[in-house]
Amino acid sequence: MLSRLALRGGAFTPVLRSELQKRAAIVVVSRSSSGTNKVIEDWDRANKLYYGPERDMKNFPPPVQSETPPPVRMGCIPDSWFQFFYEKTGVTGPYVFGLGTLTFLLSKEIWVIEHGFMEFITFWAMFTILTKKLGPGMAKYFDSQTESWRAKYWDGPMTENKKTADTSVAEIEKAIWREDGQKYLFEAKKENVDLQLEAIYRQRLAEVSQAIKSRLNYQMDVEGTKRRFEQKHMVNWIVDSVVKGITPDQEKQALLKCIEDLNKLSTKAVA
Amino acid sequence: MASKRVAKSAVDWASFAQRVPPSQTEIFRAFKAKSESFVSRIHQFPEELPKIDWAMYKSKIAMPGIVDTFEKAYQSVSVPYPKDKANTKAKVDAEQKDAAAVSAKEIAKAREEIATAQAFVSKLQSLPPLEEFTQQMVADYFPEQARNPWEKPSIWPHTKYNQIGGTDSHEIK
Repeated sequence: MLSRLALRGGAFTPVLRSELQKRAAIVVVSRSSSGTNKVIEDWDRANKLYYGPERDMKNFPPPVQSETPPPVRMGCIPDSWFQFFYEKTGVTGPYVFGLGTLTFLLSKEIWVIEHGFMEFITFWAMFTILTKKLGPGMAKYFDSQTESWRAKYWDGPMTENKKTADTSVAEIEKAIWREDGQKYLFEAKKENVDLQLEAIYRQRLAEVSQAIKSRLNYQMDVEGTKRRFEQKHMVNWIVDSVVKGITPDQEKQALLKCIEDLNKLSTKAVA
Repeated sequence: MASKRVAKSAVDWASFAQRVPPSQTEIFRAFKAKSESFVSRIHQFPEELPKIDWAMYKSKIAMPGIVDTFEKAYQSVSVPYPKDKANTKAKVDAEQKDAAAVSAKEIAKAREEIATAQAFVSKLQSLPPLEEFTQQMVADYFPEQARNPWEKPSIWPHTKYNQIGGTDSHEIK
């Protein structure tokens, strides 16, 4: 019986075991461990390929698409052109060159001002107005699109993966910590055996004293009953002997005495 | 009385309870109740041989010698301490050893998983910034997701649903 009881708690062990197995299975999101290892391998290989020691980072830095166009002056002329002139002609150089070129084109009638010139002005005027009016709104819209795309396909998965990995690490750590519980389990099981032995021992002690007490009580009862019977018998015997000792003559005298007494009483009552 | 006497549980039940996985609290509770019932059974009986009021019996029992005989016998009685005949403790020990071996194996496996997860996190940091990615880099960094018509040609229209084995008709990408 002891063994059965002690081992009944044994249902614990396989469950504790399977718990950890279950935990280990959900590690790193939907990826299996081997899948994660493959991903890590892929990235290692690619990192070596693109950012390895053979890559000449100085002369061939990674091409980065700039977010905004390079700076311009007067709305459309690149600032780099002005910088080009600055070293050779000073600050006014580019303006002089631009105006000179324009004058040259007009005076030599290379650029002819004819009846279609109005279209040129209106086109660029409209272009400028639309750019100023709609440009900021469109830029904002496209920025927000880019941001949401980035959050959905890059930043989001990045943090999510990190979080999942961290939580699963924490969970596994906890499961490992819980494995310690087995120590308590087996301690308790062994103690249960001791407890049961102790209970049986104490029960035996109680039984011994109970047996002795019952025998003594029996003896006491036997003697008590015997004494009671003796007493009862003695009383009966004495009473019987006394009753037997009364003769008919004595009885008659007693009766007469009674009648006499009654008569006396009646006369007294009448008087 | 060879083995040690116990009267109450020495197990640290509070720390034990903390370590029980939530899915097993029911089993744990049943186990604890069982252990507590053993303790309460012990306390139903006195710890030592109970004292008998010999003087009372001596005064009431007339038969000469009987109480003295009983008293002497009672004082010299030795109650044998029960033995663990089925050797349950050894069985529990063996069970513990088995469980420890399995547990060690599982813990080693779990530690491996932790190492993998941590390596994965550190590799996430080593990915180049998004701005530097080119189509070629995507193909090298994410070969599973990237289009690869040479090794894994797809059927027009190139959605997942229209490929062989595609099931979700609402899936767009």
